[in-house]
Amino acid sequence: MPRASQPHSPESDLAARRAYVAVESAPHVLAPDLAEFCQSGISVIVGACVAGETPVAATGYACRLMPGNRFRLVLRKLGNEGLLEAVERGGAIAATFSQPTTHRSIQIKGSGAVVLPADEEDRREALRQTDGLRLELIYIGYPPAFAAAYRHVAEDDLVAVDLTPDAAFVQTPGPGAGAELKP
Amino acid sequence: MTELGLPAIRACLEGIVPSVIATADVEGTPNVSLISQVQYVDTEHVALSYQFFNKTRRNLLATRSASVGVVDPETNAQYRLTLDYVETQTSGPLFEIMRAKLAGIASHEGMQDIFRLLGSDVFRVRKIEQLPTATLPAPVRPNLLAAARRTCEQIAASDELGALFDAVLAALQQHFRIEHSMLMMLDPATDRVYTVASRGYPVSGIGSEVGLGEGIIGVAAAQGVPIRIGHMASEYSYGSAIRDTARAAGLAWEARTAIPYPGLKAPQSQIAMPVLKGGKTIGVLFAESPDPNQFGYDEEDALALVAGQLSTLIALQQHEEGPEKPQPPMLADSVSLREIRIKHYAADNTVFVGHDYLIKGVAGAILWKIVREYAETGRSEFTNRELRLDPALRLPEHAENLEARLVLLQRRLCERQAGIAIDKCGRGRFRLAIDGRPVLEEA
Repeated sequence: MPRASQPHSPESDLAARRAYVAVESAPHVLAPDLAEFCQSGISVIVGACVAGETPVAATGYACRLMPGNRFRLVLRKLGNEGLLEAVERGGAIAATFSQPTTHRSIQIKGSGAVVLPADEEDRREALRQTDGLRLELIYIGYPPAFAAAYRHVAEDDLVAVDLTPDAAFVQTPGPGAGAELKP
Repeated sequence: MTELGLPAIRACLEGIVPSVIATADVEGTPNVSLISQVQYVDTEHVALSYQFFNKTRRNLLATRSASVGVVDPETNAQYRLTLDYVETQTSGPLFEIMRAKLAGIASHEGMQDIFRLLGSDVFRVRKIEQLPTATLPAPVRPNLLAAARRTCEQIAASDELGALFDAVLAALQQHFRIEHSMLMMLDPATDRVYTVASRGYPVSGIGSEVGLGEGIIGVAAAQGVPIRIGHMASEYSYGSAIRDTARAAGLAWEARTAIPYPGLKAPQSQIAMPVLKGGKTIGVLFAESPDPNQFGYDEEDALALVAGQLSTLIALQQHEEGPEKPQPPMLADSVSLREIRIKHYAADNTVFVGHDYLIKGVAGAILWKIVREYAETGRSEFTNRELRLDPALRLPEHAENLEARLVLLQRRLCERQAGIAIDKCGRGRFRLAIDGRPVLEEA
């Protein structure tokens, strides 16, 4: 099975974003299809940093679009203490969502991040979205046992990080990668 | 650092599962992305592939640190590395190692037109944290240290160079389960390596050549470092490289005198291990497989030990002439009276026997010299020393070049069933036998 059998290009997301005319008075940073993309069960990776310090990288389980233009990331607590501490000390946060079968990737940068206890819906989304990524990984050729271990959710050790997205960038490899998604 | 340090987690650094990298700009705004390749450099350093001038790159140059998550592709053990940027290399051994590996990764991911290595960013590893993950048991593998030891012992028993060449490839098959392998020696005068032994191919390809810098064998020879690739990548494929060379030359002559490269048509994994003497390449030990990701860091280390022993043994085989081995007398009446037409082209010492191309270069010059003497004086025994001292042969400085060329010549003669044979008849001596009447022609 060749990987990325349907490769995506940065230009298509940039064009779609330009075409998207927000109808709300306070439009989301992400057009609706991209918000849906981020929650569709793909790879979620996170970085946080306090200015002047070394950033911390982590892998997340899921993301959720929340009321009030907030975005929630669901992560494992154990092993991510450094990242959570950076958030609690007012650090900035970024998250990238990537689909292995297409390489389509979107990064959001956020502020006003807070660490919260995860709720039941977070747990359900963590299970649903990691299962989506598990299937993607199998589709591109990873052994099923590996894909299952890679996306195993520590259900009793979840934490949520809520943030306000300030900007979104297309991260799909290729010409145009890194450009900001804006109208 | 974990107690065991970076060498213990090298399996995470093969680029099989993408790694996560977080960087930040001077204001502290983080950037997080996937990265194809985190390469093990040494016990203290890794290198990241720099493929695009993007935000990650700008951040690294501005704040010089990064956090990277890496994954063991078999066990799912995961680690977070805290890195401090040291420098970027845009050429040389590390760059070529990473360029070849990235070509394999890109080809596997369908990104061959997009992933291009611009530089190897070298980092010092400040901290390694193990992350809690669900892990799978590590698969049981052949013990590579034991395989290297047995291979080294076995090849040390070879009493001449040709036998040594064959023994090393046989031992790779027996102890490493490497089914397809070749040994090539460098001709420093032409900057090409030529095959002196192969195993596991329908045709031996003895005498086939690869130029320095061509494909993974040529890059390993040029850089003096092992090059390996986990997935077939067209820019490293010999099928096309060698055909293109022949086509570019545009000459029927080239096509007529090229010995086809014997390698697999669709290899996935390949490793080219230089055989070094005094830090300089004298040959390349090459192995390949139709399966992906067969040669990792541990296989590379084990083959490096074998190549080191091979280099020592090649040096030990460089005898000056010693006492003659008793030879069975040659029976005059066993020699047939057929004509064997041998034609020599002085420009590049190409030799044809009948209508068939046999050999060129130094090996061709040696053959032409000894058949001429044989035809003129009936002399059939020669010493390596007289060849080495013959200014007409213009032999390069290093002795192994002569010995290896004699092995090449002996094997080509045997394969072509030319009616001509050379055999060792003592230390640094060999005997020419021609089963017929040589008719020599200078073109």
